[in-house]
Amino acid sequence: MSKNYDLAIIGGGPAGYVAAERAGHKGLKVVLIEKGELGGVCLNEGCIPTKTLLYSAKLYDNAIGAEKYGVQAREVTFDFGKMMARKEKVVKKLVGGVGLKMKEHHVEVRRKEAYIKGRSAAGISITAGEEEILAANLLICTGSEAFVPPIPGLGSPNETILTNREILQLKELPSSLVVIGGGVIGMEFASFFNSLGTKVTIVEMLDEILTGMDSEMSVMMRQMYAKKGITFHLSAKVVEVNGTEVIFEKEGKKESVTGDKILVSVGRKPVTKGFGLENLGVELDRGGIKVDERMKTNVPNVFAAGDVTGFSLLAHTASREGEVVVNNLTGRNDRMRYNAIPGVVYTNPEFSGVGLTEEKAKEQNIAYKCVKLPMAYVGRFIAENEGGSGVCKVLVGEKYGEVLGVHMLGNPSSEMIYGACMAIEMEMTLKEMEEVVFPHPTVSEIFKETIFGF
Amino acid sequence: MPKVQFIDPGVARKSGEIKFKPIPVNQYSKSIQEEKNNFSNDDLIRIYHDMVVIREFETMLNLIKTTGEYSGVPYDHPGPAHLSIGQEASAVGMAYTLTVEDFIFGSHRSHGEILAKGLSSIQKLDDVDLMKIMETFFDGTILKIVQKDFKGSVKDLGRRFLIYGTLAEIFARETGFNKGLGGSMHAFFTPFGVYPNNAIVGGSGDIAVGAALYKKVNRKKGVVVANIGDASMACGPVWEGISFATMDQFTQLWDDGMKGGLPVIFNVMNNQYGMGGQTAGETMGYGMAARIGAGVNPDQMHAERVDGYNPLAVIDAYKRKLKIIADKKGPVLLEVLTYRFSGHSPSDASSYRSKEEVEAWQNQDCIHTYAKNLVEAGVTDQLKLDGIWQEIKALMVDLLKVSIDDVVSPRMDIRKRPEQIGEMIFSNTPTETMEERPVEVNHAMAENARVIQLAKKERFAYDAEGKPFSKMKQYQLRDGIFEAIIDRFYKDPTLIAYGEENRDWGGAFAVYRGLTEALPYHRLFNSPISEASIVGTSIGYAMCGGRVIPEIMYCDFLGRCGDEVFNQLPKWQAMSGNVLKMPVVLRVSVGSKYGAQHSQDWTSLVAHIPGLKVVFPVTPYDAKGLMNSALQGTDPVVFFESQRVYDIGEQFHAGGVPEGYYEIPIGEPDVKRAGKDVTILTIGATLYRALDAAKILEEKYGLSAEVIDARSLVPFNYELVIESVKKTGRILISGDATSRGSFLNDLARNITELAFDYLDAPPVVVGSRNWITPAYELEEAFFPQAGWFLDAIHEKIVPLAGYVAGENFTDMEQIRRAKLGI
Repeated sequence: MSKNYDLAIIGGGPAGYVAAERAGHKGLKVVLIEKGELGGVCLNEGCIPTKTLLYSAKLYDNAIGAEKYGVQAREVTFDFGKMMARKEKVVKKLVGGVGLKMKEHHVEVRRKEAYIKGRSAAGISITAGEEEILAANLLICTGSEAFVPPIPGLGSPNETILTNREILQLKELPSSLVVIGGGVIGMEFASFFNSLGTKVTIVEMLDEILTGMDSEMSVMMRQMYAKKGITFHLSAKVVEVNGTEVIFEKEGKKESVTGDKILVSVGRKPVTKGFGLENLGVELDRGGIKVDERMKTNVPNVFAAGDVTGFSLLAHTASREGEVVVNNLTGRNDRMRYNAIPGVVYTNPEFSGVGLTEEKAKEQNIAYKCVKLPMAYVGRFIAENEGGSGVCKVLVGEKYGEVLGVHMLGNPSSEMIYGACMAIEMEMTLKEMEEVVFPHPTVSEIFKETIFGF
Repeated sequence: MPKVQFIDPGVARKSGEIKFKPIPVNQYSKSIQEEKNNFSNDDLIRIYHDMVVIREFETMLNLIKTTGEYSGVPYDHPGPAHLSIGQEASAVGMAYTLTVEDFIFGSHRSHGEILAKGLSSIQKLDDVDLMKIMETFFDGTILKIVQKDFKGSVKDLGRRFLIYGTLAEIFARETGFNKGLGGSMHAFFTPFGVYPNNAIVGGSGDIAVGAALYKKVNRKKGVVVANIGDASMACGPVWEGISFATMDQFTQLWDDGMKGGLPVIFNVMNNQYGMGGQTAGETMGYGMAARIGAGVNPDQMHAERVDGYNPLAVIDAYKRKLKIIADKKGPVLLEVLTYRFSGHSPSDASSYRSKEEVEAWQNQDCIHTYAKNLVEAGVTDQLKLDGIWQEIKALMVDLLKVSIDDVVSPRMDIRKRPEQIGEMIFSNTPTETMEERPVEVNHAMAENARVIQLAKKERFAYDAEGKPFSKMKQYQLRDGIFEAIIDRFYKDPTLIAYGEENRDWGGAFAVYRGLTEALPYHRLFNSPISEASIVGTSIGYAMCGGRVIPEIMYCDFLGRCGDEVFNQLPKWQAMSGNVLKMPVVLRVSVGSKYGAQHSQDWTSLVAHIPGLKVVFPVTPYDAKGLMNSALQGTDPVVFFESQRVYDIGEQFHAGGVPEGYYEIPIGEPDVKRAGKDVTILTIGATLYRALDAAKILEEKYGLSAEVIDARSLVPFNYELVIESVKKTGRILISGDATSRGSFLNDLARNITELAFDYLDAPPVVVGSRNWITPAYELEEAFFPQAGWFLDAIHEKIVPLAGYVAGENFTDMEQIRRAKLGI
């Protein structure tokens, strides 16, 4: 006899567990099926472990540079093993926390492989291991996995070839690391290992790292890291991997670089196979599940959220998408919007942005005005960033002055950017922003100062 | 399938052979000298005169089209001009013998026939009657124009009237015969017996037969001539018209006083070309069109080919053929051989024929040859004939100037009265009977077995306790239609009904059971399996002043009368400048169990065409009331019925279906169930599934649905629906038509525009899938079901708690299906 639920969720990542929590809170009978650990890639092999490690690296950096602030720290060393162990502890704690939240909101969790059997007038039949489940609605949040491109010699991850998953399990610090792909994941690992003294080389196919972010700041970021010792090969297409040697083509010439380890971080692909999706007739688009603005698929009662849709690939997007599903299921007409999704690179300094970049605005023929200010314009930044530099850029619409995009390079931009998210989401204009009071002295004042630059 | 006729296998299976008689070809050989006893000199000269009128008229148009002027009068005519230069003898010969009571129908190339028949009628009318026609037509508007400064005879005034009225019509002037709404290819003038000309090749092939049917059934004088082209013999409706016209029942089954063939002459104006194709030798196989008569009936339609280059040969043939018609031996097929010098239209470079060929025919020009013969026979001299030509030319110049004078001959002032054309689309004149005279019936209505039986039925479906009566006891939808129809049969003597199973069988789905006993053959009969002729003849019947109920059984057969329903039935009221009325109620039954070609709801196709009223009642009360309205009107009504509900009883109208006469105005939707949370608007039998859905919505989800039955598609009053939407904020629109391009979308669009501020969700269309209709057992996947309403509400309007949708109404699926065209 199968058990009936209002909502079944496959995948316990930031889309799935947040949706489960919200749905449970609203009184729906929810089952969450997860074959691995709750928390998904984000908690287990993405955001959280990397941020934990990056914090260790930052502490180490700060200790070494403490003298600039009149603090002396002698014989500063680190223990890679302990760093990795602490990361495990943090992850475990958070994963446990998710489990508690599920209990709190009466979400039934099945730590099993899910398989969709099909859909009938009674509902959607799913199995979780041996158990038969019948649900009125299904939310698919099966996430994504690292994409390993078909480059000769690259093959599957092994001792040398690593993705985000394997690199987080390293026992020893590699002496050299080649990073294929200078996106967010690549840059964060590069930053971490660079801080710890690993010789890092980044091979990027495009003509700049961190494409999609503000390109001016991406250049600044690259120059900062070049000074710190990272070697960058831009417009470099990897054509072959031979053991520890990465061979790439640059301006028509073949070059190569070797590393103890090679990190592949060229992108991620949605997971749509292996759990019976084909039994529903769900339409796919460029590998991901196609959804409308309410995260509905083409099959009634079937929704998808998170990386499995194949576009935003961010934990906070996934969570919001999950919430949109629950809102629509519980009678609130909610549409997913992507114009105020922040993007943060947790390098040192942090690089954050939300909304339109200048490149995008030009591409979309949106008339805008733009003002930028150095971070050093505000006192708190100078106080805490000896010799450091950074910049804040604000884009507003030419006609109405509505905030279109905000981009910041400098610490702690990751904690400040949400203010810009709110401004964009609320469609605030320059005038309205000018009337907001910011705490003084904070680095966040750079946002207000830039606004007054118009 | 009359029982009185026994199909004897012994006879039917006997061996033998079919014998044909020779078909005469161009056998007329008399000289003018020999005809002098039959024609006065004036007659012979008038034939010349009439041919020259046509020649000069067409030449004038040709010059205007090709050079922009005629005799120094410049004019730009952007519209069509399909000229018949060369064919004058055939037209004048055809019209010469006909009287005012005789009607002609024509084609796109009929200027010559209009003029010839008009001139012939003017000649035969006495001056008083002629003046009366001219004085009363459009309140004498045309007369006043042509009378100004004219001092000649009434007949000459009549000729001015004819030429001006035709020319002004061609130039789209409001002072034309049809207010400029007919134009070159359609112009006509019924008081002279000139009935609509048709821009669709072969269009007159069945309509003219309907006119002949009108004359026969209503005992009116005169014959009907269908002027059609040689190439139109390949058109289905022409063949269907011929088949209808030659039905055995006219001579074998109809009552004694009515016995005899239809008074119709199929006059094939054989100019030997159809567009760029040569009929004999290229695009047809008949060799001569007259041959076709041999295959139609034992009389071979009295077929004959005559030399249409000689007006006297055509007149001779007509004298003989009219005798056949008078003897009730019609119909007749006459092939009149001729030749057009001009191209199909002035833009035609005649690249498909040689210069030598055209010259050879020009060398034998019918007018010049006839003139030469007249002079040789001593009837007149060339000088006199030339004088006639000069006079006609001067007349043309004069009338051209008048007809292009924007002050004297204005076009409709659409800016001043923007709805002028709109107001002509329907006549909207309630008319109890088309003619005041006793009706021909077999017994008093009260003696009719079905009428007696109906008196015992329960006129409301439920008893006082709300329990339904048995189907047998219930007064059903088919009874409502029957009551309205039999009532009109006893009121309007012109009313007739026919279709493929109307007599004896009792009509499709037993609607006409009882009518066979009540009505003589000529008021209710079976037609050939030939929808084009069923509808086409009805159009001709109605044009002449009769009321008619054609019935085509399945909706899917509408395609078989596509031209009749889409081009003819809807358009003639407006194209005539409201001279004609069209009291036709076309009964169409929407199927449901018989698969892809017997289950389609094509209401949308019909609603798309301006000029048709479209109704689809699904309750006995509505069916009777709407049929009464349809039959009281003078507009074409396509009356859709659903095979799902012929046996349904009245569930809504308190007190049941009234026994007496009542009307439900066409165009008024009706609330069948009151509600406050969501509106469901339905077309057709979907109503009952919507009511089922409303029940589930109420009981399971606490949503109260208001269900509105559209009842009519055209016209449609949105006010009731908008009031409902103001209350509910949500609406679903449903019907059994396939969704894409259906009228449901039209309703959705208008409701969106008219009630946008009140809508909480987009209007949702719940129609059939864009597939073939599958077998009955699979229909649940195709036609809207009760569950589909809930599915659509859940997906597109408001989520229903814990609801699992059956039919897929997701946006993504909508996009996907559209992308695939399914």
